[in-house]
Amino acid sequence: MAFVNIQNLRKTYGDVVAVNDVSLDIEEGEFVSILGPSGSGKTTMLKSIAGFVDPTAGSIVVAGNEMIGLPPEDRNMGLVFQRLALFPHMSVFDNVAFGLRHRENLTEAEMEERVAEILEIVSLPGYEDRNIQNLSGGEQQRVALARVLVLEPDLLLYDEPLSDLDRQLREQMRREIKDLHDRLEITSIYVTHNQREALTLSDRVLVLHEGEKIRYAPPSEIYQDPQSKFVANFVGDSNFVSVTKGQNGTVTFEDDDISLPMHEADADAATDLLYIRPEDITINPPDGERVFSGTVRSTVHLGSVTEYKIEVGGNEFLTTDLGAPQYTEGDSVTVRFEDYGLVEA
Amino acid sequence: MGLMAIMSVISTLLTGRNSRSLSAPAVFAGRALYYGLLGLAVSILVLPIVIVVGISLNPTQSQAFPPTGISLRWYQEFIASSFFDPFFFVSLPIAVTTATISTILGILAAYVVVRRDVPFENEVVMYFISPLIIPPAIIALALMITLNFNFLSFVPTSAKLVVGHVVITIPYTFLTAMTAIESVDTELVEGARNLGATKFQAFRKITLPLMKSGVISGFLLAFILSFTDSLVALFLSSGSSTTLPVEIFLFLQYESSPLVAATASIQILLVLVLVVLIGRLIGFKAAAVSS
Ligand SMILES: Nc1ncnc2c1ncn2[C@@H]1O[C@H](COP(=O)(O)OP(=O)(O)OP(=O)(O)O)[C@@H](O)[C@H]1O
Ligand SMILES: [Mg+2]
Repeated sequence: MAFVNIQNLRKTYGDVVAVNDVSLDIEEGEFVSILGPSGSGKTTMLKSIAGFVDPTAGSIVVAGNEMIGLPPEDRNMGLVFQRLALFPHMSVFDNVAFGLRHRENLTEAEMEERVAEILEIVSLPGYEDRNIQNLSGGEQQRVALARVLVLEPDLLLYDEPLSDLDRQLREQMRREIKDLHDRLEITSIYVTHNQREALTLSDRVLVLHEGEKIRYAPPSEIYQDPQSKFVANFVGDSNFVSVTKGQNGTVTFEDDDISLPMHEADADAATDLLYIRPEDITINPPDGERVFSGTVRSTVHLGSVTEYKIEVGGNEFLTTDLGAPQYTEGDSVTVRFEDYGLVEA
Repeated sequence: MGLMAIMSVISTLLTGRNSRSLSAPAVFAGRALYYGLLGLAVSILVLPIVIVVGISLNPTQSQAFPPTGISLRWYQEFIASSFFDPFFFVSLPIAVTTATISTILGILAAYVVVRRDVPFENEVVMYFISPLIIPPAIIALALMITLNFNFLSFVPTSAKLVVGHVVITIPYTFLTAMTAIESVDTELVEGARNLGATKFQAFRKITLPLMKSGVISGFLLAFILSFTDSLVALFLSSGSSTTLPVEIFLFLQYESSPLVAATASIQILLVLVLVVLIGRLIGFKAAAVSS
């Protein structure tokens, strides 16, 4: 059995089905993200695992032990909250030592050693006597990590821990969480609605939508073969076009005479929705196959990249290009669709 | 609607907000009115205290204000008077006991209402604050009838007084505890339990310290209410268990002297010292900070 084995987990609040029969296996040492829009049941799932939500049905087995029915304090899991939930009336030391005091029987000296060790690991050496309220956002984040890491939990649970940070700090903390995982190899479940975090951090991503498991696969697989419109749109941006499948392995845009050769993998897909990622559209390519003419409809400069909307036939396509804007509204351009695929509507 | 408009004009006048739309004299008049009312409110609170302390300093039997001289005669008389025992051996212990019991009960009830899913939550809240709604004399009467049943005759009067005072103070300790518990983020409790604390340990180490200021205000309110109550005490007091307010009440029926003012001044001083001391020791603000 996998290290974490979740079977048909279900939670309803009256008529609301927060989590709908989700099953999930996680191997020891794996980093799994739960990705989904707001209200998709991510927190409900995580809190069921941590023991703060009573599931309506299902089972959660961690390291061979059934968790359902165990109070939270008897599950050896570390939970990192979105709003951190550090104890404001305690010093950094007391926050970090809190778990040691309850979970382990240590002398004061041993405790000091363990706390110092873990503060070193999260790059906060010597912060023991600092007051929680006087720490910066990033420092508080590290204390929240240290507080659970010091207990060497079987399972680390993160509930959008970075969503309250500014962009730069978020990037930095994301890298640090990744480093920590690479070093400590604690099995982790990371809840987020940020696809970038999910894709860069995880070994596997669980995509949730309205409480249902849509997809559970490694990030690259999800990105390259989203399979459904929801995933294609949620994991990276996508352009969608209704197509008709022709003979000899081509798809033709509805209302247009644009035809593209179909990928082998899509040959027997029972769908007529094509997705094209913005970065898979090249503007003004050197001549070649699959080149179509279009008109620039809008230009948005986003710093390192520029976002264009280009009308090709009857459809508008979002595309991005590196660098400053080179085309302006009304320009005639050609485009080439480098890559695309079929998804379920 | 009309009422709302009038209110907003008045509040504009009083506070001088939105003053851009008003002429300078109007703003001045508004400010003057505002500070005038503020001054009035403060003096209504402070003036009686000043007068009481002033009267207590009179050197003679006269209750003149301003005092005809300055002396501590009535404070000396207090020590030998019939007020001394009720003050320190009846009212004070009853107030401390009442405040302690009422605070503990208030916290327990508030915890259950706020943090547990109990049926009839609104009804429970109503029940606990009902002593606020029922006229005090009715409560006192009801308590007198109930507590004076023969089979309760073995209960000392002071214990009955504590019961009566707990009844009238519980709305305050309950409400302050409720607000205080609600101000503690449930995720802090979850955080503690995730780190291995049981429900009770999490309450003791997280919720309780963080709701400290609410607990203290509740305790102080209960203490002061019990210490100054004359109504319930009047109905329940007997013999050696007469509380200070009742003793003063009886005294005033036949005599008048600055002794009463001196006693009242000591009462005020005691409460003042208590408030300042607790504020210093624990701090009202310190516990209220949230993460
Ligand atoms: N205690 C509750 N009572 C009733 N409904 C609830 C409760 N908790 C969650 N829900 C509902 O369950 C659904 C899933 O909620 P959940 O908090 O798990 O979503 P989420 O994916 O974490 O969303 P977000 O990204 O906004 O945090 C939502 O529709 C929510 O309204
Ligand atoms: Mg959530």
